[in-house]
Formats: sequence, structure tokens, C-alpha cells
Amino acid sequence: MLVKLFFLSLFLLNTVHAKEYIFAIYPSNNPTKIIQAVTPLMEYLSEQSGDTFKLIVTKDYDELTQRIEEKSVDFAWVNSKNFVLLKEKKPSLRYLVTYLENSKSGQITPYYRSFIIALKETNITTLENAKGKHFAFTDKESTSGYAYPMMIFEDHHLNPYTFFQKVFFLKKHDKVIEALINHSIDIGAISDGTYYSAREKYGDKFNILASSAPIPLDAIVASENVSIEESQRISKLLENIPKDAPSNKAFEEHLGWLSAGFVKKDEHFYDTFKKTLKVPIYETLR
Amino acid sequence: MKLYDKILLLTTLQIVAIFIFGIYQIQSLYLTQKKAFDQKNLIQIEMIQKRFEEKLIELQKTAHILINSQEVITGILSNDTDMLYNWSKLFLSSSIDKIHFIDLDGTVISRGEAEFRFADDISKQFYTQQALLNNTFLGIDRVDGEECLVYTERVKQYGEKPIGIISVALVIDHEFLSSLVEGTTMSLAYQSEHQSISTAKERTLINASSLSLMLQSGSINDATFSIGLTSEKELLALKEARTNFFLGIALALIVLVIALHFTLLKYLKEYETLAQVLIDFYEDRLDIKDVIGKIKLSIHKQPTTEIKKIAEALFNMSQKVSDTQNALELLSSTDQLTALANRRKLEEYLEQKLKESNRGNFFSIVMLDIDRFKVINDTYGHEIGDHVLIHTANLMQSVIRESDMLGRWGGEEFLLILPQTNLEGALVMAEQLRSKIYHYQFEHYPQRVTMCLGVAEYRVNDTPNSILRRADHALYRAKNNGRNKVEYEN
Repeated sequence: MLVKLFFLSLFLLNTVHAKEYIFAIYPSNNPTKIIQAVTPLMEYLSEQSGDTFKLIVTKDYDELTQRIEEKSVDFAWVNSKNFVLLKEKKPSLRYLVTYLENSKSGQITPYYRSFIIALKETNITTLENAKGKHFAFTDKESTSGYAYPMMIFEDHHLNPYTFFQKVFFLKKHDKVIEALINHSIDIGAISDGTYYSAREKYGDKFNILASSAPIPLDAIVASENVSIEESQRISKLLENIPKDAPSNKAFEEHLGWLSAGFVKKDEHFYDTFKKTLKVPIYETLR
Repeated sequence: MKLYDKILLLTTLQIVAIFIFGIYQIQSLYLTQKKAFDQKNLIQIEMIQKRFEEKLIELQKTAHILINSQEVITGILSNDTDMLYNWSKLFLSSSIDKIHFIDLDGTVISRGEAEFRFADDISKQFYTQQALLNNTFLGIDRVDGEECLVYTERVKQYGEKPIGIISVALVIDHEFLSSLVEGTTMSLAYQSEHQSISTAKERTLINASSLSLMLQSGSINDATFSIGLTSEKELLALKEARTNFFLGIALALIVLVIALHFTLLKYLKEYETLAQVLIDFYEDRLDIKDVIGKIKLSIHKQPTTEIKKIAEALFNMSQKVSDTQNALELLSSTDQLTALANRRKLEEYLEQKLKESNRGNFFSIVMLDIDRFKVINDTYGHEIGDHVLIHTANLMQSVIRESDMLGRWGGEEFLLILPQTNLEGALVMAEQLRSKIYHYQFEHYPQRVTMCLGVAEYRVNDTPNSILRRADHALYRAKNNGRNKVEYEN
């Protein structure tokens, strides 16, 4: 009887100490898909931590930033650019882990790259001989579709807005591939993942003219609400997600991400991204 | 005019009048329907014209909505193909097939209808040049190889600074033409130097007219939209209905007239036959006996009850008239005492025989006179005298042939006319008569009765008087020679 009472007390104590955390994620895809993809991760964390993790998908980046600032969320999934900007704004933001990708090149990396590619049939083999051609970025807000390609151009001392005859913005990486295939553009900037998918779909039809520096993948952060100890505990749990965990499978199933879990890097891992924010914007209103 | 003709004419005239009225009514109805048909076509043409104008307005309206969107302006400024595509595809509809955003160099930034097709140079296109030169263009031009109704307008930032062009186009194809004529009976054809399309299977449209196009002249100048009927089926059906009515009426008229003709024939022919008999009788073409015969015949032809009654009545009437006539004739030609032909009848018969003799026949006559008849009357009285006369006549009548004519000439004188009989034959006959009378014993007269007989044979150029005179002379000679004798002419 005494033993029973002891365990009951322990359970009640645990229950009293169990917390409810809000985990926010930005809408990189259809919110329904995101919820389906991330829910197993929330279940994993809840199960492992004994706390409750509630998932919310924000309307956009701004809302996510605002919520972190307002401390209305405890944990957040942010992209590299947002992490850098948020960290500058709120140094107290705690970095936990970086997303690990089982990339199509066959490596498990916490980063990816941006490629500038052209159709082989156009005989464009270097950036320099693409002068006067039609070029396409994805989105000015895109890391691999704009920011890192701009770093490449800077490294080559090229202003794409004057070097190319026309520069278009196609928003999505896939659209750059389709525009190339349709000969609407001659070269374009895309993520390496898009490139490998395009190769699978269309074959070896593309020349990689340039490749960017590694681009850190998305990070999971904790707000000031969460103690350092708690942050470390959750960070460990994230690092220890098995490769065949339901959360990894859910990412692939619903978002097409070949997830390999998470890895804890040094915060300086994101410093390379800071450089992209300093790239001068050559765009002018023509 | 005959009764039949009168009835037929009058009835036909009335029927024709009714049918003419009917034809007039049908023609009026046809003209009303034709007017309604033309009116409907006119309304349809106006409706199609209106639809066409609405399409043009829709093009311009859509272009203006897009031009006034800040996102579109930003998209053009930043060559944001995706944003422009997403905006423009919202406006693609059955009235808008193509939405293109073009920069001031004439390069396509985005196509609403083709997400991955852009960046090509269309600066040489007529509609692009027109928009760059004149701000707007509304007309027909080839857009991406297809002939379109196209509206282009310069896009301006802050309402002043040109930053690009928007072109909104509707492909002129069968679907477009069909949408204009949908729900109508009209067809629409489009003809240009490059293509010729029509909603009708037939190449030519009936009563075709051109849609009035409020378009700027463009690269395709000869383009025309013709609107008209594919077929005049509806009108033809109306005309056919009218023709059928007319033919029906004409047929009905013919059938009615023929039916009337035969009905009149059937019912009036019998009346007419009877009437004709009466007319013929009136005009002396028939005597009463013929009339009776013909009426009898018509009764036997199984006529209608009415006709039968009339015919029977006429028959009875004719019969009575005939009887009366016979009685009168008998009375006028018969001697009442002896029932022999009277002198008038004898004279007629003699005249007849003389006429026949001119054609080669011959005859003889015998004049007979009872000897001393006055003595009989005086001695035995008139009654006995009449008795002698009557029995003498009967006796002579019994002797003569059927073809012979015996009559009382006057008083106790008789005349016997013997056709086809020469003098010898007549003498034989006369002798037989004398002998018969002589040997006959009268019931109420005890004496013998004798007769003198004078015989004369017909001679060429004889007249009644000449032959009678010769017979009379022979008779006197018999008297003078002692009576109870037969004498003949010299």
C-alpha cells in the first residue's frame, strides 16, 4: 500500500511539473501538409520529455518572428535567414539544433547549396559566357534562389541586372527548371535538391555553371521562456531522433524532405549566411 | 342555264369565296409569321452584336483591373513572372484566353495561359507597337500565332510613368464564335487572310450581314465577321406550311367541286330527265304516249323516293291526259251511230293514202250507199233505220281486212279505203260486201237490204276529189243500173 502511494505521489509530482510548450513553424508549404509532417515530431518530443508540445503554423515569417519576440511561442522552426536576423535582434534566442538532410547527392549534411545552371544544349558552360542571356532567380526572399546566387555573382564580379539581358523572378525552384526546359530562360538559380530532382526527371540535361558555399539548413530555436536546462534537454532529444523515426518518415511522406534528423552545430555555423545579407543589392528600378 | 349548272356555279362560287378568304387568312398569317421571323433574326443579330461588344469590354475591363493592381505594377517592375502569372491566371476565362505582360522592350514577362513560356521578344508585333505608340490598341492581330481580338495598353507607374504593356486577348476560334451565337438560330463566320472559320457547316450564310466592328485597324485588315442564317429551314418550313395549306385548299376545292358535280348529277339528273320529258312534251317533240313511256322508264330505274313520287304523279297525270286525249280523238274521228270512222277521219286517211301513193303505194276506194234508205226510215221509223245502219256497218266491218278503213261518209253512204289493193281486188271486196248485206236477215227489219257500190282505183296525180268523184260516178251508175250492184270507174 505504501509503495502504491509512493508511485502515485511521484506521478502527481510529475504531472504538476509537466509543461505545455508551443512549437511554431513557418509556412514553407501547405499548412495542412506541414501539420501532417511535423505532428509525429511533436508526439516524439511529448513522449520523450513528458511535456506537451502543441504545434502551430504561423501565417508567415513575420508572424513567427513577432511571436518569438512576444514570447508567445516556446520553440520555433526557423529558416537560416530568419535565424540570423532574429539572433541579431534577440541575442537571448537559444539555438538548439540544425535540420539534417539526407541529400540526393547521397550525403547527410546540415546544409545544402545553390547552383546556377543552364541547359547543356545552349553550350553555356561558364557564367561569363552567359552574358546577354535571360536569367531567372526564384524569389528575393529565397536563400538558395537569390541570396547565395547573388554571393556567387559578387564573387564573379557580375551584376546580374546588367550582365544579363533580362532577369526574372519565378518564385519556385521547380519553375526555374520548367522555364529552362521551355527555353524561356537560358540560365537560372536553384537549390541543389531541385537540381538533383530535375536530373531524375529530365536526365543529365543541365550544366552547373557555379555552386554556392554551403547554406545552413533550418534551425530549431527556443525562446527566453524556456530555461537553459530545458533547452539542452530538448536539444538532446532532437539530436537523438533515430533515422527510422516516424517523424523522419512523415517529413518525406508529406513534404518530400529526406530527413536524417537533427544535429547540434556551433552557432557560428550560420555566420556564412550573415555574409549573404551584406551582399549589395544591384537591382535597380529600371 | 340548266339547273345543274346554276347550282354548281353558285355553290362553286361560294366555296371559292370561302377558300379565297381562307387563302387570304393563311397568307396574312404567313406574313405575320415572316415578320416575326425577320424580327427575331434582327433581335438575334443585335444580341450577338451586343455579346461581341461585351467581349471587347470584358477585355478592356480585365486589362484595367490588372493595370490598377499595385502587385502587377511591382511584378512588371521586378520582372516577377510568378506574381504576374498568378494574378493573370485568375482572370482567364471563357472571354479571355491570353493575358501577357510585356516590358517596354517588347519582351514578355509573363503569360497567364502559359506558366513557363515567357521572355520572348514580341516588340515587332503590331499590337505591341501600337500600345507603345498610341497607349492603347483594340483590334485583331495574331497573338502567339493565333488570330485574336486583342486589347493592349501601356501600364504606368503612378499613372504617368510607362513601365510595360499588358495585352489581353481572346482567340478567334470556333469556340469563340459559338459562344457569340449560342442559343440563337444564327451562325457566325470569320474570314481573314489567314483563316476562315464558321459556326455553320455550310460555307455560305443566308442573308449574311457584317458585324459592326469598333476596332482599330490592325495588322489583319481584311478580317470580317459575317452573321447570318445557316439555313432558312424555319422560313422554308413556314413557306412549306403555307404551300401545303394552299395545295390542301386547292385540292379540297377540286374535290368539293367534283363531289358537288357528282352529287348534283346523281340527284338532279333524275329531275332533269323528268323536266326534259316535260319540256319535250311542251315543245311538241314528244306526245303524251312518249311522255308516259319515258316516265315509266325513269320509274323503273330505281330513282330516289322523291323522284319516284314525282314521276308517279306525272305518270298518273300523263295517263289521264292520254286517256282524255284518246277519248277526244275517238270522239272527233268516229261516227257515233255506227262506231265507224267519220267523214273527217276518212278524209284524213284518204289524204294519207294519196301521199303514200306518191311514194309508189297504191290503193282503191269503194263508195257504198244503202239503196232506198229513205223508204226504210219513212216506213219503219228512224230507229229501224239506225238499226239497219248499225248492223250494216258491223257486217261490213266483219268482212273487210284489218288494214282497210271503213267509215260513214254521210247519211246512208259509206266509204271504204283499201290500201295495197288494185281495182280487181277492190271489186272482189265490194262484191263480198254487197253479197254479205244482201244475204243478211236483219233482226228488226224484214226486208232485204241492198247496196250500190262504186269502185275507183288510184291514179297518178289523183286528188281526194278526183278519186272520190270517180267512185261516186261508179256508184251512180250502179244506182242507175238497177241498184244492188257493184260498178267501177271507166
